[in-house]
Amino acid sequence: MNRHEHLVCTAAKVAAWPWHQQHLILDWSSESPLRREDLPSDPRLCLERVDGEREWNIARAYNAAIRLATRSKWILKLDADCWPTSAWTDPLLGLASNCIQVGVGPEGRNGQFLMSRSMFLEVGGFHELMRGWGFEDKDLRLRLERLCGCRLQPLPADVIGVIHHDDALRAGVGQGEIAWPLSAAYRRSLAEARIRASMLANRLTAAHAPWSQAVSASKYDNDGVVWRLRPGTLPHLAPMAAREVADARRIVFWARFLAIPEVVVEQMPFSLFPAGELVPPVRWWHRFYWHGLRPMVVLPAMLLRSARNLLHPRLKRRARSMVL
Amino acid sequence: MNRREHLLRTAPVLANWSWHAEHLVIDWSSEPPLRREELPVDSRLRLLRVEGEQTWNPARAYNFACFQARHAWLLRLDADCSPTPFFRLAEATAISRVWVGSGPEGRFGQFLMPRSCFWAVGGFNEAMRGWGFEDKDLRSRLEAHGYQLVPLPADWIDVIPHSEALRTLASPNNTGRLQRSRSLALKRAQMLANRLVAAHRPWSAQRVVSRYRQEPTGSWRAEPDSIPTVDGPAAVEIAQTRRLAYWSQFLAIPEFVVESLPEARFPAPDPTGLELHWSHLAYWFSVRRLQKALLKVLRLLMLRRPQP
Repeated sequence: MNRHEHLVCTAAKVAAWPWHQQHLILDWSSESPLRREDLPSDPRLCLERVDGEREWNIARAYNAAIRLATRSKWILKLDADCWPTSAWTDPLLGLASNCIQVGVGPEGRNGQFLMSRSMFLEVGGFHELMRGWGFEDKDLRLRLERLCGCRLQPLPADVIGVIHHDDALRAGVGQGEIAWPLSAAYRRSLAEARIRASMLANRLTAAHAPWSQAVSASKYDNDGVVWRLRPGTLPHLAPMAAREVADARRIVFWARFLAIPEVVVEQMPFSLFPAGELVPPVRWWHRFYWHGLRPMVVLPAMLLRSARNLLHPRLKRRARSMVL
Repeated sequence: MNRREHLLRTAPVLANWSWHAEHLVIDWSSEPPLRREELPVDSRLRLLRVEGEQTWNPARAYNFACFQARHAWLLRLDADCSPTPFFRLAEATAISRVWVGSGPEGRFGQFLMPRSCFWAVGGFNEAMRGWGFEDKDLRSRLEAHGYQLVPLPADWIDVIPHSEALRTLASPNNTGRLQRSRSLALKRAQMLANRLVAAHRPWSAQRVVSRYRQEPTGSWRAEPDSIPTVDGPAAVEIAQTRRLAYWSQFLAIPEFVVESLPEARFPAPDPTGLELHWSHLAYWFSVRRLQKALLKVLRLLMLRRPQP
């Protein structure tokens, strides 16, 4: 969704890679639709578009794409900013049918994989009740290991290339809702808060509603040009779980963004720290607090952390390895 | 575990209830041990003791109980719960297959279902620790398995009211403000950690539950190697989340500030309160209380403003 620049760059690199039969690009309701003529003239490349979606949903987007990719028994999932490098030759050589090759290494490599299509469908694909970013890849791996007895095999980091970008792009900061230039620190802080909130919300979703093949995934109809969600097929969380997940998302977002204890966000009126459809709306008083009062809490904590990192490099490495 | 007073009140109620064939009481390493002669003289009542457990683990305790139960239907009742005269077991079993608790206080976690349904989903998730979410997790797996859950009417079960501290702390008799605050923080942290356990280690009938061996004294003891755990990066994440949530809630400090503070000074929470240092107490009695008072004032001011 809205990642044209990345796609134009990576599609050319995928077209130069000789090991695939089909390259399917799914345009998930980008504001200005992706055009076929902007992409390489590779006969293996198919461009499909899902229209009418208001937010990026990685789980639903990849489930739809993989159901459309029918030319091969194998799937290589690559985000818009990823491509297979020339170091990756004959990817299926020696790959057992119950084996999944998963990306490891820095940046966005972790979410990429190569596996058999049937195995992906056997566990129901990605968990479609998850929203935003985070945990959908781990959840899929856990189900593949548990339900299919799959073995995970790490892909060497050099076989996947990734265009470097910041978390703000991943979290959709600056898309639509804010009309003036944002400082890099503000963008980072907003992105980090959104990602944290999303990561916890998706974990709670997995806890409340485990996904499987038995759960009915979204369905789409084609009107000859684009795909649209078939009304009534979107899966929903049970009301009690949905309330808990939405509340956790709201509280974690504001607590993280404004550096306020969660217990304080919980106790303050809802209108002061409201919830949004997916991302809570940031008002002028939040921005005022962020620029004026938040540094008083954050700066001493950051100084303390820097001092500890300098004194104990081992702690620094450990802190980096924390996922949540 | 350590709920003698409740049991001494609820066990006679069950002894007078005519609908059940067996009443199994599990003494989960209580100190001092529960004695059979303290309980009613009822031939249906069987007291089993599990030795060597440091903390209360409802998931493992109830799985052990359900494994030991000899009959086709299971009615889970916590130590503080008892059936009321409205509870007609025969009618309930004729109407539906899976009944789940509803209503206030501790009713939510109780259930009535056939043994086969319980074990079809593997029982409770034994990788969870402490109290919280094990009941919701069981329900979601039962639903995912296709069972229709029917709420047990609230007036079918009586619950003895008690504090949260009794659920979470090792010495719950101290019910001052500090202990209440600690128990709330511990409860929150456990509930969040157990949700992460469910996300990282979903439970099913394929999972192997803890094994117990009977000792010459007649009591049972878990084989340590058989107790399910979460390992690898997920275990680190869960422990870290639990620790941050506890301190952040207890002292009302943003989580990322707790992350910056030395772990040795802000260690993993402990039901016995061993993690507390005088500096925590000083902070709680001064800054935290002042913050609470300020929040109250702020809330009052906010509430006085006309609502849009």
